[in-house]
Amino acid sequence: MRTHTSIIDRLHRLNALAPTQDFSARSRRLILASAQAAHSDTIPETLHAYRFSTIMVRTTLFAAGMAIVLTGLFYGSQYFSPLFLPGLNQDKIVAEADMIDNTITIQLSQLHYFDTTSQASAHALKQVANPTLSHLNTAVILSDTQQIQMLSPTDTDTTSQQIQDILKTLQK
Amino acid sequence: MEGEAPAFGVLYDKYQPSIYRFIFLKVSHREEAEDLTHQVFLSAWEHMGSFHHGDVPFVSWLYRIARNKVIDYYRTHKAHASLENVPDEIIALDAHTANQIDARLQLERVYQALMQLSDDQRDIVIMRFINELSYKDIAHALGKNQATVRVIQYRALARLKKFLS
Repeated sequence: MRTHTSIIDRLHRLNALAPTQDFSARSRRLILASAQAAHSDTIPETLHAYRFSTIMVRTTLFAAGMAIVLTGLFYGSQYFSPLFLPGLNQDKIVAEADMIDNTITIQLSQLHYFDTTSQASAHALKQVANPTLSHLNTAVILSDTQQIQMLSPTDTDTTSQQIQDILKTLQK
Repeated sequence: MEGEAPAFGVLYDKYQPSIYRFIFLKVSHREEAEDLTHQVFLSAWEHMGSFHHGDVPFVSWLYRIARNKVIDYYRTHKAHASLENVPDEIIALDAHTANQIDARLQLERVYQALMQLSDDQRDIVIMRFINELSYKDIAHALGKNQATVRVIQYRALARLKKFLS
């Protein structure tokens, strides 16, 4: 029993073992700081969610407001425009405008045709009226006739004489 | 939660030295013991919600966490406390006594004898004779009844006597 007491006394001296004060202070601070960090972490999470939802709501409201304003401006500008005539049918106006456009196109093609025709006529008339034109000049025609007659006068005369001769012979 | 942090600080100041001592005598390395002690209190703080008053004394709950941390430590490190090399912290304990050499030798022999015990025997000896826990707290910490704790303690002392004689 005395031996046990002696052993227990010796063991008890190990009770003086202790961590350094630096470690104890640092460890304590870290653990308690982690506790506060864990507590504060929950707040930003909630806060971020709240801020995000607020931003989303504000953005949606702003977009809806802008859509209403722009739509109002679009229809308002039509309604208050000096050209605004409530009795007019938009479809009829468009159909009528198409018809006018077709008419104008037809007229333009006619104008083009007339222009081409008149140019040809004018050109023909000009040629007819122009005395200097070689192929219509009377002097040239006459000279050409004479030239034709002068091309082979002997041949022609010879042929005629022969024919006359033959005829004469036959008549005999 | 804000009010719980200072309260936990009080518990830390009260139990941290004994938990450190318990771990140091099991791993025989100051830095490792400090890290594990820190982990024990951090884990305790994080799991305070699962601690129920009345089921287990708080100190026993802390020792349970400490034992599990040491088991995990040896599972990953594969090393065990050396029987031969007595840590400087043990040697330095009786530096102020008149007969330093004799005191140092005695502590070295006690330490080496302690290292010869089984895990349960060593745990009980440290808790009971070094950290001065009650049988009830030790029994709760080890998950055994008090009679079993007394039996293991008796065998541990007998074994220590054999080593030290």
